[in-house]
Amino acid sequence: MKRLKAVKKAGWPAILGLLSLFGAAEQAVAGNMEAKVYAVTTWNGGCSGSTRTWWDNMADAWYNEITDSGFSFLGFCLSGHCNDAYRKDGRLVDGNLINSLFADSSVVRWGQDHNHVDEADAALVALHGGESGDVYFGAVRVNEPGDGDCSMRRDEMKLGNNDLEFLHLSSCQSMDDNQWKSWWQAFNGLHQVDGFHGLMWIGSGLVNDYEDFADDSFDVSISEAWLDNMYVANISGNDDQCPVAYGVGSTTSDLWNRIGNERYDLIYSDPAKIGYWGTTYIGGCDPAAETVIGSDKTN
Amino acid sequence: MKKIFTVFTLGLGLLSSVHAAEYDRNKLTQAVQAAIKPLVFDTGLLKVKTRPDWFDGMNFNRIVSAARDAPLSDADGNKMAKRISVKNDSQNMTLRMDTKKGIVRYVNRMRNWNYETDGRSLPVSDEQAYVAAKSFLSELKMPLEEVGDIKIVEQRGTAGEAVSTPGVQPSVPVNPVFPSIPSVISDKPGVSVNGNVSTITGTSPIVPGLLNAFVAGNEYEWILSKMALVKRNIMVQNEKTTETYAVPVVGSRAIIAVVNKSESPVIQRALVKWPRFSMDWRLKMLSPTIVSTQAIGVIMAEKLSDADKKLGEFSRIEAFVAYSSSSDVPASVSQAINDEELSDDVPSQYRPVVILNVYPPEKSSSPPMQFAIPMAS
Repeated sequence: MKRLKAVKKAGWPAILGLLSLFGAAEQAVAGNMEAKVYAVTTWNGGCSGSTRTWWDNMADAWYNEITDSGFSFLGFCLSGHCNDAYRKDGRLVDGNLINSLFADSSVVRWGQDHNHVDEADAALVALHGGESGDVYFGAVRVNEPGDGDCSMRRDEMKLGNNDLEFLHLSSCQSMDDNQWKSWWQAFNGLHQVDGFHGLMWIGSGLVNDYEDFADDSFDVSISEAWLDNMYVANISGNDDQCPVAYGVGSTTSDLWNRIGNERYDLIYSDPAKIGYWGTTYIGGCDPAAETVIGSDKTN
Repeated sequence: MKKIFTVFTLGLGLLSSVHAAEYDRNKLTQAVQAAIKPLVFDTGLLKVKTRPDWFDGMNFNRIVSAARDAPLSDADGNKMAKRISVKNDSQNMTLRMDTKKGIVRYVNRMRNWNYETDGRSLPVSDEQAYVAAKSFLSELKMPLEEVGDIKIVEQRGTAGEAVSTPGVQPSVPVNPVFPSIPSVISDKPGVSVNGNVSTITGTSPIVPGLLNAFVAGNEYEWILSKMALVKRNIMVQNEKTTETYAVPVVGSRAIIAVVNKSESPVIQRALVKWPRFSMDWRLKMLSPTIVSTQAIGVIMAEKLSDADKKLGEFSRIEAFVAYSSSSDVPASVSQAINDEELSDDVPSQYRPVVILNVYPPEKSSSPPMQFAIPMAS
């Protein structure tokens, strides 16, 4: 009786564990796609920023979910993402998180993105964010010797020429509406960037949204998963959290086909040309530190 | 006015010498206590009974039926799996259900907005979207008494030509295509705003080659779907006044996209995060003093940059009462209040909490923080 109760409590993993003793269960094998995560919680490496202890929990929730291969049995995927799961390719939380990891050597000679963020297929970056003019930048942890400094910038990026398809920015003002007209300049094979218009939020209660976003991106388009899981109306008082998904295409038809359909397990070839950029978002979203989305694209 | 974050903000931070500063405890204590003081620590919050399991008997066919989609075969409809994908001539859908997390996911990709074939907006009125969403929730057998406000918004799409603008030159050309720009004959659409619901009016297709797009400057806009945003509330009876009031459940919500792809509006996709509501019967209310102490401790653990210290530490602190999953409570708080291990007889455990929103100082680059501080242990 006790044993039955234990199995009931443990659920499918326990049952499958028992079955595996007889060789009936199979551990799903992770696919060929790779995921990386970068996050800073404590800015004590030469660059300044207020501590946000929950940021790595949020980033890890995404990382652990996208790489969760789970269990399959007799061809049925019973948990996780089985053969579609991404492979863990690198987790850098605090540590030597520096500017050059995100910069391309064709833009700045000291760029090293080809060995780091542009070496994954999907990456999530969690940093304090801001903007200078129409250029997003995030606060890294360590002030890099040489030419790099304490902020990684969109205009130092040229992503996708090595590998990266999907970049998710858990970072304030990473996709402010005034930046839309120029974000495409960081694309060089990259398919999509997901970020926030205005301020995004940090907290214990938001961790699940990152896990759910990763899980969901195997079922619906990444853009829809980003909007549906990250949009929070009235997260505080009158402020919303406003996610934005951004993509490019050679034509508008190509653009919307990509934004509307690409998933973690449905990846198109790299955009051959960039003719158009496009975003999708929730109309009327009104975050802290910005005007209503789409209402004023001048700042 | 809301644009309070500028290059100055992070610039100030980056130029500052790097030291971890602490919040001024007295100033923080005053702000936290002021935020918590108006809240009612009503023991009625603990009297809410565990709700019936609305997931009981859930299967994939119940989901497709609620979405007015073609029924699945018995084999698919009753399949014991977390997710299934069904693809044939008439269907291209994915369904997912997670009993433990109370998640239902439905998407029919044949109902996606299609640039090639759909107009600039799918003609679904706010009322039609509301009715379709409410019907979906009902047929899914969700506890409708927990359904709070339903807000109808639009999922929008905006596109523009990838053209470098003066002062924003790319450092390295990416061989963009610069398509010829058709002359724009525009009767600019009007926008009427009713509360939080925006409705675009206007009738004419505008840009040849950019199917039925609205034009705003050199950018093009479409409405991809109407979306119903559903909040979750638990009704509580105040133990002293016997008045009933709604308490939000944070992290629990539904979002339903409605399009017009057939004779009547249909669900294109839906995401429901609605775990069964239960509370441990052993919970006892904590005093406002204890809650304040825990809140201050959690915030104090977040060190300040010199820049944020100079800018004033925080701009405001807000608090409200909610129910939150016990797993969302910071571990340090659970330990501090000697939380006992909660019952695991039911998969989800809620408790009343004070949700504390801490805004960074104005002109700071730091994101705001949100914490769930238990009102009961």
